[in-house]
Amino acid sequence: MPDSVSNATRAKGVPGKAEKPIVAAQDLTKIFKDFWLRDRARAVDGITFHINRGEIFGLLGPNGAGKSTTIKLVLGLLKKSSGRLQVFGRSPTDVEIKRRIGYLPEESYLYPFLNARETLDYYAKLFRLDRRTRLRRIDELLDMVGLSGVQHRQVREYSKGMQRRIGLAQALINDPELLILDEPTTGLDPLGTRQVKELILELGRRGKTIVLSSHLLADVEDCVTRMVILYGGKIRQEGTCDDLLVTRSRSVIETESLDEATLADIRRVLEQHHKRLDRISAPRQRLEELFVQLVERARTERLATSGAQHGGSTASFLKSMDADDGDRLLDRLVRDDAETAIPKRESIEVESRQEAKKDAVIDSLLDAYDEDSGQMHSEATEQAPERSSRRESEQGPDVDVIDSLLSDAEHRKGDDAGEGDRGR
Amino acid sequence: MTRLIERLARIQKERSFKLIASIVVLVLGVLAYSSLLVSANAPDAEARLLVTVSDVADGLVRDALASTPLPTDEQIAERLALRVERLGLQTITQEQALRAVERAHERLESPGGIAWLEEGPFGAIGGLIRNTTLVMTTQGGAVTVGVGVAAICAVVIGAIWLGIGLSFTALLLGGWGIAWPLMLFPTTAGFGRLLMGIVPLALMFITLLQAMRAALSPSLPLTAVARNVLSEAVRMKIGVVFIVVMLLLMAIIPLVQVEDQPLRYRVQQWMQYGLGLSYAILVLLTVFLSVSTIAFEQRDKMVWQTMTKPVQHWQYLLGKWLGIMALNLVLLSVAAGGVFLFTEYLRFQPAQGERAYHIDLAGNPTRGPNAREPSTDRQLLERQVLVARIAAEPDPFELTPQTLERRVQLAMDRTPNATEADREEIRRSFQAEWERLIETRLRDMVEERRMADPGTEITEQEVARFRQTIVAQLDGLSRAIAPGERRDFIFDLTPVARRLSGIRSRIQREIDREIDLRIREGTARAEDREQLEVEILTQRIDRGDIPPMPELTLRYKVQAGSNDPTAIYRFYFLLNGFPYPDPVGDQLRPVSAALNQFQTLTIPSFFVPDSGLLELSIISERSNPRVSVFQPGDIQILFPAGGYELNFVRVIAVLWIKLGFIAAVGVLTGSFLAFPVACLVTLAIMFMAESAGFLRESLEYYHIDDHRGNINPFAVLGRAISLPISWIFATYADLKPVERLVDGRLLSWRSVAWGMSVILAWTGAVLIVAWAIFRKRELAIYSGN
Repeated sequence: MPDSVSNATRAKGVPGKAEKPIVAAQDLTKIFKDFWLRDRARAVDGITFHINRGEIFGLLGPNGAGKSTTIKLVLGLLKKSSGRLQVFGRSPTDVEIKRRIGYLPEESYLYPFLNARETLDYYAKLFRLDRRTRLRRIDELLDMVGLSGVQHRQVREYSKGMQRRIGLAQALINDPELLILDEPTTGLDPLGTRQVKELILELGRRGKTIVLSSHLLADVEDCVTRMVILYGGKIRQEGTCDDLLVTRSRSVIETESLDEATLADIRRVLEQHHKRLDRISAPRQRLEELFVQLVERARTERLATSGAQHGGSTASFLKSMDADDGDRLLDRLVRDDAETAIPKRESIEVESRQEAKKDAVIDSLLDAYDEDSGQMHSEATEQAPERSSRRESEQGPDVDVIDSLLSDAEHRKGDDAGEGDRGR
Repeated sequence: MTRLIERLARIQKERSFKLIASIVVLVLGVLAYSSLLVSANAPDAEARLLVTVSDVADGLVRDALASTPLPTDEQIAERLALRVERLGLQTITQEQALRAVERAHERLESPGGIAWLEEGPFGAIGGLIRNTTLVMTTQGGAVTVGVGVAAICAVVIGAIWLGIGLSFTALLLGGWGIAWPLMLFPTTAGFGRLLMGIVPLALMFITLLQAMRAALSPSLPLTAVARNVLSEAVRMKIGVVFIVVMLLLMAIIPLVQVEDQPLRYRVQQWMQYGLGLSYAILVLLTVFLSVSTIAFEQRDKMVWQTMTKPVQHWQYLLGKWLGIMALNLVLLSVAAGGVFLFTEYLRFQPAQGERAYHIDLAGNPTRGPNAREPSTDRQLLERQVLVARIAAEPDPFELTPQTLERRVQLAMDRTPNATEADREEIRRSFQAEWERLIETRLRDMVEERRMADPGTEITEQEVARFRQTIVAQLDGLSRAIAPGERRDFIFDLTPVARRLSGIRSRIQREIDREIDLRIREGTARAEDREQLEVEILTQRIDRGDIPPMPELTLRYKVQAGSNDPTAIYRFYFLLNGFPYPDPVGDQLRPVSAALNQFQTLTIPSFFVPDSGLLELSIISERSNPRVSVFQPGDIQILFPAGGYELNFVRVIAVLWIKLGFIAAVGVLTGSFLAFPVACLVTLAIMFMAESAGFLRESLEYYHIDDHRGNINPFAVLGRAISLPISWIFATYADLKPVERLVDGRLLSWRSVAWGMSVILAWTGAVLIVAWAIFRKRELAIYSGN
């Protein structure tokens, strides 16, 4: 388990590696047979994986890779052909473990004749929730998913997005420890998608274990801590986002906008180091960011909509922690402990990036930049894009990186002056 | 307007409103009951209620129009005033009488004309009040009405506390508000009456459904699934169609009744079609709903989201079954309530030969002191339809220890001063006669067998089979009467004898008490006791102050191997040796009967001796062309064992349990078959269950070999399939609750308990099989593909 995640989980007061995984599969295989019991399709073929408590775990793969089959095996909707599979240390068909699981399937399979409130009420009763708890949670969830205004309309009249929202709400009604989301953002507008991702991250921060299966790779990338990539029923790759996505053989440097003269200097420096400048471009704001801004503006202007309202804050019962967790959090805040989840992760990434790449080229580039920074500042700042929460936090570490690079470069000036002069 | 409706919807859910409204309803209920009680106990209440001036005027004008010469209106008015006074209604002037005659003319000459306040809800309410007060004048009527008023108050208060009080009232006023003007015009009157009938049925349904939803509101998987089924039934087309059709039919059937028919037939038809059709619709609804609620959930994957929650498989299936049973209970209650209330309404309509309830055409009362004989229609209605009777079958011909003792007792009853020694002698002679009968035939059969197959040893099993065959033959012969021959049938009517004995003892006690009182007062002497007994008894008989004796009905069907509908056979009946009906002089009076139809004959209960044994002797007249046969079940004596009200409750309970079995089969088939196939299989099983009785009877005559002894393999297969079906569903098929209710036959608590236990056991077995199959299924595979 990467240090970042283990540190994060330790920050939540949850034991690290010593705890058993919530889901443990070993050589798990599922073969679908025909009427004559002949093998028809090997949907899952000897996969081995585990999901630890507090992880946001991604299941990726093309159509027919075995993602949904794997999920259904975990939920007991299918029976394994061979291998081992345990959920909370028990068989997936054990009814008791289902108290701790929430499931959102890829399509919303809801009762068309019930309205939103009745739907949540029905599922809440299956968990034997008492009346007061039930009513409170239903109100909060309806508010959270933005369906309070249409709660008395039957589900058959809902749009697909609204049905997904109510599906998400029913998955959360029991405040589950393990949340399984199969294509959770299907049918949602970008704002809804953003909210779902924020919810997933928040639930992850609160110690929920989340299994996320999606074709929308950007959504998965934004949320998960660890993932497996399936193809043909087998695991092709697994690891954290960093393990899998970071290209260590290339570097990206982001600065304020550069004029032609500076660019020419940079090219010269790179050529001196036998490197090539492949691309210079202005960073683009993500379409999602633009969309969110527009909708927020419209909301501020109170434009009407007959669809779902934009959701409210996360339901309080999902945010609630037990007393111990609360005390530990307070302790951390009071001590200004560096081991809070979000800052530490960014700083580690920055450090690891820094540690990974100590290239003289960068040093020399930063030397050149350092000399010109006073002239280039304002324009770059205006065009700086808004980022997603993860990328926003990267701006901080980016600054730190540059600072540390600068300090390192200055340090090297003294040691490596010959090399830098040689480059010129 | 929307805001007003929303506000009213909120108000009706507030606790304070519920409290106040409940108190108001209670007070109104108490006031209504008190008024009815006072009205019923007023002097001449009965006479006043039974007949109104308008009724008498209608009758007189109708009679006048048919007579020649045609009397004038003044003459009719004069007769009217006299008649009204004689009936004790009120005193009316000649002018008032003349106006009543003119209005009677108008009514008779324009049958479509409807007086404003005599039709529509006001007319209906007026009629209801009148009939209700009438009921209160009968014995036990005050209690019946009290229970009815309490039930209505309970339903209304229930609706209030369920938060639909104002909606309930709005629907009632709205529905009847639309119906009333429609009833004022001939072309729309029928539709108006339909609406009048359907509104209370719909309200009853809505209220009971809300109550059931409240009962299923606990936070448990079982009740959550059951409650979901209720929502599905009323919000999905498949359920709504059946519910609407049922309510419509219930409202339509009374409108299509022919008023000229005898009242007893109208009541029987109403009970038959009202309950029978409702049950048939509920069977179809149960089949389709029980299958669809599981099959469609699997096909459309809703079951995924339920079974990934902490719900056991058995909870899911049992919850589905429970939901369907809850819906059936609601709908059966609505049907039962509607049928019962309209039956009671019909009961108080004039029968054939009556001008009004228990008032004959001449205007004389046919009940109470100095009453005339009620019309035949009224008598048959109250003694053979609105009653619960036990059907006693005659003893089989076989001489078993029980039948032997009964024959011996009969013989003893007929032997004056018989002793125990006589009893023993009689017993021995019967046994000897029986053995002689058997041995003679057995010898012949054995001889025949030996001649057909010489050298073969006859085993004991074969002899036992021969004896069985002989007994069956003798039993058959005992039911076949050749022209000029006589057959005797012995009936054990011990319950009747006990009741008669009880009545006699009570009368005797009352008479003794009266005599003792007179002796104490000094108005009579002890030595004159016997004479006084006769005197007091005679006076009581003259006054009609004798408790009603149970009436016996002989019900029989003659078969003669002919389908000729015009054939009439004649028989003479003897009861314990006495001819019945009473002979005319020396001439026995025959009873005529058509073939292949059930006939009835009323038998006075005084023919039943203290032993309870009644011997019915039937003599076939010599002029009858063929042998007359009375098959088992074709000759019965029925006697009352209770009121039809409790019988009605038992009938509904049995219907509900039968629906439960069908629901269980639907749950089973729906758990692993696609919807169309599951429906077909469920319907097939349902038909098999309903026709098991017919199967069982048919199998008695169904042979697997032809006359040459060649075995037919298809016949073997057919028998192999039919036998277990007829055995498995025997109890289910034998319980024919609606038939019994319509025929006025008792469905006893014992038979209900037995029947329900067997059916529930089968229901449980079916649900267990459903669970065993369902828990093995991989739900994510069966998704419609």
